[in-house]
Amino acid sequence: MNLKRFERHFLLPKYDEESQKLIFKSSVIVIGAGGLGSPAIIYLAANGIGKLGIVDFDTIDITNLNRQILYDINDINNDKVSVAREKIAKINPDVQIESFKLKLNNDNIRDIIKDYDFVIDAVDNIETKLLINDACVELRKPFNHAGINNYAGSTITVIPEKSACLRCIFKNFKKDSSKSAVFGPIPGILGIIQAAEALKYCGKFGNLLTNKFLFIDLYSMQFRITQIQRDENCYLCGGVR
Amino acid sequence: MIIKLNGKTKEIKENSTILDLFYLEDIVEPVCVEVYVNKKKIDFEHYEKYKLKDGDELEYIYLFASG
Repeated sequence: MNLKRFERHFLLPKYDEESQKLIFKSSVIVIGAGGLGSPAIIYLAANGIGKLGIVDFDTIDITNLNRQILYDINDINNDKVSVAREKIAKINPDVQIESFKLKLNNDNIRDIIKDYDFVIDAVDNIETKLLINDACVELRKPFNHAGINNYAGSTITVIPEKSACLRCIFKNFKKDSSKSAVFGPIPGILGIIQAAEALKYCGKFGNLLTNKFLFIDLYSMQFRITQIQRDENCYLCGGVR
Repeated sequence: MIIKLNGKTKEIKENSTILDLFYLEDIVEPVCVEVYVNKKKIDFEHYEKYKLKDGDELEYIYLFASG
């Protein structure tokens, strides 16, 4: 690892070579290499994460290109994970990459995430978001959730045993099936926040977005934090002490 | 009466319920929306009958599905 790359980090308060080395020794898995995943992957790689896992079953489509900034017009019809791997190698060849071209399900998720230090939920449906939440709580794996729709998005970081999980907060769900509208920059902002949360957790600096639900609306330019409390009776994490 | 909705002052009719407010806010289907009134979480099944009072501070959050 060439530390010169991170010279501007070392000018930051509360951030030194040790923080950078901790990040380089850490592993993060990004589930979903789309609108949220693209910027998260780029920033994790550029900022020296040691090992990066990428999960996505999909191929690149022209309609992805307004927001999935890992990809360009020449990548259409190629696997997202293969292209992501090539692009990351150019951004930072020191990053070890593990890619999974598959759909996550209840049978495979635990094996895939178990060796990673931090998980990023960058998927595009409620079912998989809940699957990630549930597996991370079960394995006591810290993760960041984010979701987007229209001009807006929201995010929260979950440290199982210590902070509220998605099941503590949301009790009512419906299956989502239709394609949602997405303003290109909104997953960019949220994905970068996801990378920042992972880097802070791995580097052991800064405050995490735990028990705080951050909402961002780029149409009205509202940024709002709602304080959340862990539900001691949460059927999933209420028993995790 | 006056309430605070997600930090902003809003005038609504007397005896408005949380569900009435959702209609005003164009939240047609309040699923994956959680509501806090004066920092206290309100269960989904009470949205239709929970009457807001003057000065209440209401916050709601969404679980967004897309990525």
